[in-house]
Amino acid sequence: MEQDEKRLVEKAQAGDLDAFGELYERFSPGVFNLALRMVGSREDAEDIRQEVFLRAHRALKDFKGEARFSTWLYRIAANVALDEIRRRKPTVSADALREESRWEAAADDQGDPQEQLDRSLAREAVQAALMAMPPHYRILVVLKHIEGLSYEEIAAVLGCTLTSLNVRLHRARESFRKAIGPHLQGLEESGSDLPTGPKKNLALY
Amino acid sequence: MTCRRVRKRISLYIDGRLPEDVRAGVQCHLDSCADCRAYLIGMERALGTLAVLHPQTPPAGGWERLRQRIEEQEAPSRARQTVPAWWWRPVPAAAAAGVLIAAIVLLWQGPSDENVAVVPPAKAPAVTVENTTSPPDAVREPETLPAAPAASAAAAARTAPPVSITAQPRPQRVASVRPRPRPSVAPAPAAPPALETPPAPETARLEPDPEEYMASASGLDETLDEPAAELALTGLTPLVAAAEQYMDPVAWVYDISAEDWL
Repeated sequence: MEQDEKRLVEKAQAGDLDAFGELYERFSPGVFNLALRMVGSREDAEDIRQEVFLRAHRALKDFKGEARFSTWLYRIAANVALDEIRRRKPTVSADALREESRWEAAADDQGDPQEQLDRSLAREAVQAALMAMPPHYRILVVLKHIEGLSYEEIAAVLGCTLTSLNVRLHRARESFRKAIGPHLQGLEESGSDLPTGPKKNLALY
Repeated sequence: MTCRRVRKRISLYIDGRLPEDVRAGVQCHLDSCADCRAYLIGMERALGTLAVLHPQTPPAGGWERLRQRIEEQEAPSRARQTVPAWWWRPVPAAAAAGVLIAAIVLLWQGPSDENVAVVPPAKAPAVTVENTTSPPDAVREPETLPAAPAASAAAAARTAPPVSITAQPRPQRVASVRPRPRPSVAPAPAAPPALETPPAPETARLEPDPEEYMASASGLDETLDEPAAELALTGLTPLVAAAEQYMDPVAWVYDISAEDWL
């Protein structure tokens, strides 16, 4: 798979737009989800996804293959998302989050309506907690727990050392713990099935 | 191990990234500290809630839209490439402009070369004699012959042998940097008399003697103006001297025409 990715990147660097299209189809869902959890809006997340791949295409000749293409892409995505947050200073309203949660609920057809509603409320609360975090901590939680990246990959994406990442990730988790705290009891009482541990989201491995 | 130190390591403990000895210390503390145990459980529960955020499917048609944008962006850049790339680079463009300006200057200067070659030996003695004998004449001259005599005087002063130059008073230099020649005064007819002035036998030399220049400059350097002294020391020929003066930035600043120098 890594060889296949390398071949596609080389073809895209040579100007093959179809090869770049294959890379887009393979990696754009992960970029979209990272953006969605960072900005809390599907519309903005789609704009970020497009911008990330536009920049990636423009800078493709500078990609030397020292890191994995997905890592390089995540670095662009993190920068674009943080820039976008800084530029717009978005204050996502509770209504907007509820709307997003409903959109996600429409794709969730498992279980009875009550369970679906509980999951919808849980998503809304967790996304609200994420949005309450400082963006530079939010990106760490998203990369680690939504995208499922390893410490080494996160350090490469953010361009920091592992020692620095250990400290920053702990602070980010602490920030999230405080943000989700008020909702935690309600979530557990609602009977939402809250699995523990992170999950892998992207075709990174 | 204190509670504070344990909590700072709880994140790495959860991920199993602590060295074995440190992990054993944390584990030992957790076994005996209910608060830290509660902290660990609270952190794990909080992080567990993130699992409800399932991966979402992005909107369809993303690639088609992106492809269109890429092709739109590439189209103008392809059009720009039809213009030779070197033209947009600053260094070749500046070099081309420099060559063009130099060509214009040389073409402009061309017709006056004969005067440059002839004027200094013929004119120098006449002006210097006037200056040494009666300095006010040099100041009075522009009133009757505004452009050419002063210009000739300036050129002569810079190319004449040092014995005569050192005798020049300061007003001579002021007269040589007049702002602009006035065509209405008709300087051209006034110029021929200057060219026809008979040379004095002792100073009418096209190639001045460098040793003579050195001797006079070293002896009277306080009265020399700097450009004249430099010329005297280097012993430049009148043509080169005129060209060098013409390229002098000061000349550009004061907008001195070629006629003034030549």
